[in-house]
Amino acid sequence: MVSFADLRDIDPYVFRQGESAWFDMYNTIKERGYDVRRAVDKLEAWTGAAADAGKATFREHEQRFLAGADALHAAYLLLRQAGDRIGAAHARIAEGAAEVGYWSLTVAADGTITDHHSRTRYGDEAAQIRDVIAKYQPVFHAAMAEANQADAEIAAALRNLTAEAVGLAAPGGDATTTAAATAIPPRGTAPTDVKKWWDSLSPMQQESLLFTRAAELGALDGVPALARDRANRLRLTEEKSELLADQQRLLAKHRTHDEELWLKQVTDKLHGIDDIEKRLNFMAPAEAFLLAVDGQGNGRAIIASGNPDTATNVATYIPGTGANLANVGGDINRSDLMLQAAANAGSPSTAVITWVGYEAPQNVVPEAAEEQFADGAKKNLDRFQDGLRATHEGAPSHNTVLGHSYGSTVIGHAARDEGLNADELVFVGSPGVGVGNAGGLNFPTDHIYATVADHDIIHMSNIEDPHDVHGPDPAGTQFGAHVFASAPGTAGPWYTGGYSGAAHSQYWGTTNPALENMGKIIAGQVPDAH
Amino acid sequence: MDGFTVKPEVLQTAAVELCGIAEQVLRDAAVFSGVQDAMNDQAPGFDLMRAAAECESSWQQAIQTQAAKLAVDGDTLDLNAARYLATEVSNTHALGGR
Repeated sequence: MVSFADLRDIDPYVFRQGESAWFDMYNTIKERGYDVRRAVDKLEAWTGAAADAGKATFREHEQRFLAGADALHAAYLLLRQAGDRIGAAHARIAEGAAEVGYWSLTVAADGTITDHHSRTRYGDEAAQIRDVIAKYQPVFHAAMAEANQADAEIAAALRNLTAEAVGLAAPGGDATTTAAATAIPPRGTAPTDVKKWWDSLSPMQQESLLFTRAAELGALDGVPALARDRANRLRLTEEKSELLADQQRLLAKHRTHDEELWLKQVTDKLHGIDDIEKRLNFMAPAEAFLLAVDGQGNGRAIIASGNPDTATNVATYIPGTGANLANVGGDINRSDLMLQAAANAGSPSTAVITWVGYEAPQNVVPEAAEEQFADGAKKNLDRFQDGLRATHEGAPSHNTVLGHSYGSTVIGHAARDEGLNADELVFVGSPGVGVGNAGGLNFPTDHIYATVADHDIIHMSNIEDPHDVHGPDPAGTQFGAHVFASAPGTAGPWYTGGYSGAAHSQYWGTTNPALENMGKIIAGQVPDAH
Repeated sequence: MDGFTVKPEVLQTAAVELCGIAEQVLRDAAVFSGVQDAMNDQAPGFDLMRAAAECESSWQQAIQTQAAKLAVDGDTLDLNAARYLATEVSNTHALGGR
């Protein structure tokens, strides 16, 4: 039942928005039906019984798409009707709603106007109120009746247009539906078990799951990169669509301060998605694979430059403070630079994965000084590394886990508490990795590397202090890691001791020896010592 | 004999095209997904919006299933075409060797 407040407060634009979405979908599905028709038409020379059966199968697909498009068109017409009828009812009450508001009259859900202050109104005012009620009461009742009638009629008509109602839903027991209903292992399942489960599925089950449960499958460590990529590309389209709908809705209204911030966040995330799409559509320096994407919170994304299931050398790069979906483009660029550096160092095939698979701190103070973000990330990173091992084809790859800034803290916590399944650990511009020395990392110390630029402002967080939660600089002489060379970076002003924020982000400069050294470590070689 | 006038490569090209259409359908459906949910938040009192969301969800599933079926049938065509191609190659070798 539509209440007076519902009708008064509705923005009729919402129906136009729905109408347009359904119309677009109708056009698209109709076009796909024609696409199938065109593809089958090209098989004119294919004749005989098998050809007849094959063509009939694909003609049925064509017909189902076209019949579906008809139903979508009917739904579009109904939403258009909703916009017209409810929009008209909304317009009818607009003037009266303002008037009764002015006189502090109450309007019940059914549109009945009541004056709760009648005992205190006298003379002209009382007469004016009586006139207002007499004028608008019939208008309100008529508008409410029309709105409710339209709502009920259109709702019923829409329910008669579901795929089930028009007979286009897959019947129970249908092979594709049954395959799609296959239980998917929960997120925390060991990746080796996930891989066994995936391998046990028939190609049809795998295909059906990819098509119908992309979100679950795309996030599952242990599913091969090719399949995850396909699932997550669909997820990316969904995330983008939801963010665009949010953006349009926010742009169309008068926004509060909080809504302004929300709009900015949505717009920034859309930029991040654009950057991912650009990288996915570009084959250089290697084909990209989308291993995860999620728009919730600050947003997460895992993108591999190169196929981690087939590459000889696989690196996972974990960015630090400020990492999120919106900023992922810059981190992908760093991964591409490291991939190129590894190739220059002689790696026969490489994949470098940008891993924004955690909720990173978004500011230096206070968040980057806290351990909670690293603790929240460690199991995810550990499982992801196990997943890389589980899905790799042929001989095991040489795996490196490399963290910048707070990303190195994430690696430290994961290695210390979970035991990372990798061959090399690399800490770049680190605020500390949660242990006092390399021996605390539960990892062969010969394979732990670190670097810090002379002018990196991170030095300011690495003062000798027993209360420093992140522990000492892993590039310090006492820590016990192999320290490799990097350029000093841009010097800061005297009052910062010569340290600068710029130097903290210059490790991936193409002339910085740090980049060449990271490439060497990824390629399984020894970097130049500092 | 069946299919004698069509080259296996033509069948494979069509199969790849059909699988590509299936993937595109899925991307199209993903764009559609969630639009109705976002609108429901703005018109909570209207039953027609709930009905539209039910309708959307039902079509979302039906379209995904239809796309999966198309992909599976496309794959089957591709596999059969590959077998056909292998037979052709083998026949060519066998007959050419005589």
